[in-house]
Amino acid sequence: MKTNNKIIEYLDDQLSQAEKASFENELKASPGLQSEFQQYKKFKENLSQLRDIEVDESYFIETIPKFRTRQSVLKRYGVVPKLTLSLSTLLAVALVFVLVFSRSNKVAIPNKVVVVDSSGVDFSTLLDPSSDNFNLNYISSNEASHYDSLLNSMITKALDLSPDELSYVAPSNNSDLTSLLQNINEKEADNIYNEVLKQKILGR
Amino acid sequence: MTDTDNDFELVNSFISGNQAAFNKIVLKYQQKIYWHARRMTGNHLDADEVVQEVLIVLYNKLKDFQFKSSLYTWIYKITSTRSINYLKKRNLRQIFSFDDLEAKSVSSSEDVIKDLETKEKLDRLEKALQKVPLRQREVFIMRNFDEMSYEEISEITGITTGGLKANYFHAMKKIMEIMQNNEN
Repeated sequence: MKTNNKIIEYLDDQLSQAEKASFENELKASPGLQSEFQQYKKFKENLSQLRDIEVDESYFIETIPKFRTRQSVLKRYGVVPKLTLSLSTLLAVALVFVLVFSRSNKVAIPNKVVVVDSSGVDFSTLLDPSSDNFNLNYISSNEASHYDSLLNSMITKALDLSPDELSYVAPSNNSDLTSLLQNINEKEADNIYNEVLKQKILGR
Repeated sequence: MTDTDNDFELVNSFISGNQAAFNKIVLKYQQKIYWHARRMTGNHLDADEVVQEVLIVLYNKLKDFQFKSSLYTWIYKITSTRSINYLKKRNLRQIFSFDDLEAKSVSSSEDVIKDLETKEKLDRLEKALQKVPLRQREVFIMRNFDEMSYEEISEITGITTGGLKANYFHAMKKIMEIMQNNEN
């Protein structure tokens, strides 16, 4: 056991008679221990002076009337704080939910990314259903080829691939985007449109 | 008549509808509740708030009290729990800057201690107490100021006597060190 723990136990009257006697012998033999012991003893004496503090009795006379007043207020308006607490908790949960959900959607489709092609058209506007450039049905084969090559260069750059390696991940035929769009039936197009629209609204 | 018999009569009288019996219980224990709360929270205003919370709990739960422990131990348990809960809420308020502990501790006009020298000594102790963890602070207060045995403290806190002693040693060393450093 550490020496100062023993001092504390001694002053706290937690030692047996035998332990007490042994500690007292140790104390007589060690001036260092005596000095440490005196510090703890003085500290304990100072603490005991703060045990029974004289106070202003008028405060304690007021305790019961104050409690009765508070009790009657609680009885009268007890439901209001509870209702306020419930509503604010509900509001906070809803706010956190919206923020978290909204943030996750923003990660899925970044709205602020601007990719400009050689003709000056912002590529991201093609994904924006509210944009004038958003037109899935009337995209020409030239435009499709152009955007296919643009996509390929973006993929190459993002994945740090050589042109040969690109063939493993990118479509080899430049008309794939056109054929993909042509093969989409109306129901699928509706679903894609609704999904894009939903992501767009929640993403903002 | 013993103290416990008296408490038993007071509780039964309150359960039968005698409001004056509740007042007598409060008068008997309010100083103990106040001082535990005061030493735990470190200032008069927070202690006053804890006292009122304890009285509300006491009033609402007293009808369910079955004398499995003494009334004093039971009231002390409520005071201990309410003080710790209050401090947790206060810490949260401080994180979000709704509360200014410094402003509370220097507000001497609201205090119940009129003797300036005693108040200064108590201030130093309260500041040191606020720097030790809650559980250590609690054991230190119960042991030094309420002079409870480790067994009684164990009944209130649910911590083993071995654990309590370890907490007490840590608290004693740390508080003494803080107070000595502040004096130098």
